[in-house]
Amino acid sequence: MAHDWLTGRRRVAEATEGTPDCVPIYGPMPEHARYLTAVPTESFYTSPELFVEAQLLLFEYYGLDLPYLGGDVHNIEAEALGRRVIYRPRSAPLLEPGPPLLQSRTDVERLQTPDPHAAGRMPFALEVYRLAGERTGFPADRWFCAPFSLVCAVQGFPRVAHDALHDPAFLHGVMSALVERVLAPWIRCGLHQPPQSWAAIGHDPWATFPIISERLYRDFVWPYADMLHDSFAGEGCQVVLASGWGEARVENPIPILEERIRLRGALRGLDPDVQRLGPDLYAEVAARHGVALGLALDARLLRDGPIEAIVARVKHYIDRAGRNGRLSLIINHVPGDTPTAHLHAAVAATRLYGSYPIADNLDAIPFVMPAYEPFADFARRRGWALGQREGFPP
Amino acid sequence: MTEPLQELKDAVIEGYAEQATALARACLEAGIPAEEIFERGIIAGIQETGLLWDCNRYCVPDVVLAADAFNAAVAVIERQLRERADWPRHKAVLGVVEGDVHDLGKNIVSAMLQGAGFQVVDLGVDNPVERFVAAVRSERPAIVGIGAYLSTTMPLVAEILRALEAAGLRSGVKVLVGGVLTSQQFADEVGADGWAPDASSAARLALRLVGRGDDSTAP
Repeated sequence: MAHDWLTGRRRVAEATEGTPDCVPIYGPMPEHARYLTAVPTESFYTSPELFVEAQLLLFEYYGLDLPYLGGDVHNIEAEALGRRVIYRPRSAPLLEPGPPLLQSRTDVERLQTPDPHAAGRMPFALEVYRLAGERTGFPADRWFCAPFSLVCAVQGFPRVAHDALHDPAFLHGVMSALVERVLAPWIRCGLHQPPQSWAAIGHDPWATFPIISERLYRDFVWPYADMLHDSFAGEGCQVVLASGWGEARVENPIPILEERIRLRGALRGLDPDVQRLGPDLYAEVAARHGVALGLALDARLLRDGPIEAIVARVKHYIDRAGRNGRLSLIINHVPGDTPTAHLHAAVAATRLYGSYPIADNLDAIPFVMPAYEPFADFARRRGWALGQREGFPP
Repeated sequence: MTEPLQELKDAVIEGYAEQATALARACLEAGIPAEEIFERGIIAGIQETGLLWDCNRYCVPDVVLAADAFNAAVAVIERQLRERADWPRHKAVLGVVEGDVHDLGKNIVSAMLQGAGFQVVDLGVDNPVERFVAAVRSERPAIVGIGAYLSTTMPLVAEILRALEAAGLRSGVKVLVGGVLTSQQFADEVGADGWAPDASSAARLALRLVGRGDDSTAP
């Protein structure tokens, strides 16, 4: 029988607007899916069927609320422009470092729009959208590499840093060309892929403090996010950025959080920032702007445990940021070999402590680790033949 | 300080790699000894960069450019420096773990360590565990710096430490870990000897670990 994806999706939608029955929990974990299903890196990230089916299997196994397909979404456009991707057994695909692709103004003028049906893994991404829609019954989230991260991927950060300081006009020219001739056509193509979607989210790992300064953020992240947003607003599509992280490293994080709300229409905090700044700050800023909040649980904590600490973290975030609704908990890119017990504990704790109305004293509610089926048994029941895992100790 | 050396120092601080290369060459052609060019021009520049970072006047892009200029200038005088018997005083091996190609932090640490007087053997990025072990065996460094910048690759740091232990090499080397997601707690958990929040601190920590904690050459 097909899994019911709609109940969780409804819960997430309710948490975006107000108070659902329970705090939703979901998130991208492609490397964990790849590890558990023992699919080699290159096969996983080039076969739409494996990519979609393995991740959906995992979301179903843990009972997560949203089929949130992750992956190296930030590499797709740079690969289509000519950057080589390398595959290693224990990590997601990586862009091979190399010299800047656009060395001169002439190179920028000659920049061609990649063919989304032929360039790099763009066809793979389009097929992922189609398959995921078919399997879940609703359009998958569309992803793209945010302009600043794309220019870093195409040019290399040292060149971007150099141009930002010594030749900002050239860097602006490169970024405008990337937005107009690469990102906008690619996003438009992804949105039109059946089943059509109306929203795309830009992944921006390089827009992170202290990798960039507040000046770089202001001059080279925000304007191009606005450019993209505005160019799609007339088409009734919402194109937003899931900006990076690192706000705990700036003197005053609140303007950064507020700008992220402006760019995304919601607020998301990732550990270790949330740990350092406290969930109360994120909850207060989100409430002040009337937007939903997503707090990601520390990937290392989820991997290393112990279960008691994971449960305590879930409880703490719900206690401090979830009492008035509009909170989601995110499991964000945990390492492949994260023990399944740890993630079952995180989900069970979310269900236990995150059911509305939230109890006054969560500490008075004892957590009991639920029984769960080993993943291998679950996968076999679903027809998966698990192979030999590459790259990890037996 | 002579004018060309001051200009070289400024080129490093300002992050002008081509200018730093040309000035280092000009200094050599003017007959200034390589050690003086290194100490009073290039090292002085990267040390000043470290100070500007410490007082929050420089951010990562500024330091990246300064490190590039530093490396460009060092390349000009490298051969002459190697001929000096007393230089460098300690060796450090730096590398990023397998499956990770983030070299930004590692490159800055490399420049800062060289600024602090270390000879740096740079393994680059995407290094399997065995490459770290082989490098420690062959280079016999005082310091090994391991960079891991992704939550998915951080577990490899512990594997490298276990492999060094298994190879009987762990006790002869101090291991530093770095990466934007790492912490002192992470370093403690994996059994490393140290962690630093930035490259400038890493150089000072490396000096302390090799018993030169009060060394004035620290950036």
